[in-house]
Amino acid sequence: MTETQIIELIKAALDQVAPGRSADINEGNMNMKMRDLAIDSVVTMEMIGYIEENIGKTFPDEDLAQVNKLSDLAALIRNAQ
Amino acid sequence: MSTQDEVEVSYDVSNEFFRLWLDEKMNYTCGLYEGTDNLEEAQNLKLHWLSNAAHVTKESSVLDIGCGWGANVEFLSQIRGVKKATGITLSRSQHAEIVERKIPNVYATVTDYRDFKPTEKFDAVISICMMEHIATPEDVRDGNHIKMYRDYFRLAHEWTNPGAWFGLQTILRNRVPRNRDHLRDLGWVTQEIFPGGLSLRLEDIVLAVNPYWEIMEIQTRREHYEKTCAEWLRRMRVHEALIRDRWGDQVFDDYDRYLSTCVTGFQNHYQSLAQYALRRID
Repeated sequence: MTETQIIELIKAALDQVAPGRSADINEGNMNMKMRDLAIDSVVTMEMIGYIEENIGKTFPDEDLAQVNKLSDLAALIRNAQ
Repeated sequence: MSTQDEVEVSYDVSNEFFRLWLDEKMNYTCGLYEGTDNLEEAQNLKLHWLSNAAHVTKESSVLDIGCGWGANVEFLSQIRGVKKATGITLSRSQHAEIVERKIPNVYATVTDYRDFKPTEKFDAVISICMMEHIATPEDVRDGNHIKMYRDYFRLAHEWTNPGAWFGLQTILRNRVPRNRDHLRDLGWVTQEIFPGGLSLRLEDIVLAVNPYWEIMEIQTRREHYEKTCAEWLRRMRVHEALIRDRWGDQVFDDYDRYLSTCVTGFQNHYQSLAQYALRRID
């Protein structure tokens, strides 16, 4: 999966759980904290559920509490390949 | 660390409210259902297990970190006959309840454990589901939690004599729910019922005890906590009309949702519970 595809997947996940919000995500703000984008921990976990279903992988539970930035989420997807 | 205000959200609704659905000694933690279906007996068995883990004897001076309404310090004094039991809590209501019980050889203080300065060392430590208040969800997200847990174990080490043992009990985070309703309920419990707190992962404990304590035994008790919460919920529902009348619909509805979420959480492996026997590294 390319970096562009990863970002598209994250955007699709956000749109799935918070419709219309994907415009908040772009290559330039991947290092922003989720909470600074008004994405709380519950929404983050819902996004993770969508992404797991989409790529057919389950992320390790121990990694999930430390998903702080969009780039952490991208790293989870990258590492699951 | 949960602030005093946050801790009082969790424990200071009203002592009379909690007395309606907890066991008679007001243990607000998982019981040990071994050979019994009775909550009171299960709580007693839990306290025995932790005292045994801490190698408590009649000569022991024991510290209880996060002593709640005093069930364990009373047990230590009345059932185990210890020389002295000292409890610390951040909740003023819980402290008032302990004072009210007038238990011989029991001393209780309202203090943050980080500010606690005992004048004498202890022979044993027990701490029952207090560690959940040490790191906030933000601390965990920022990766600061292990250092905070390790500091707690360092203080317990400093406060004890060589040869001390530590009976510890913690709720564990295990699987993270992917189900939207379960996620929302668990998030709500974290924010509204236990603000400022988060349960630990088992590996957090394994990392943080070093270099102060050696893990000698771990027992997980997930099903025991499911059973405990189900019994609390059953007892609370028995008093629904009284609770709605005295404390309002919001309190009943919130605690019904919270206890139901806990039952679901333990059933689905989102949470578990662990008891540990730790030996001081001298």
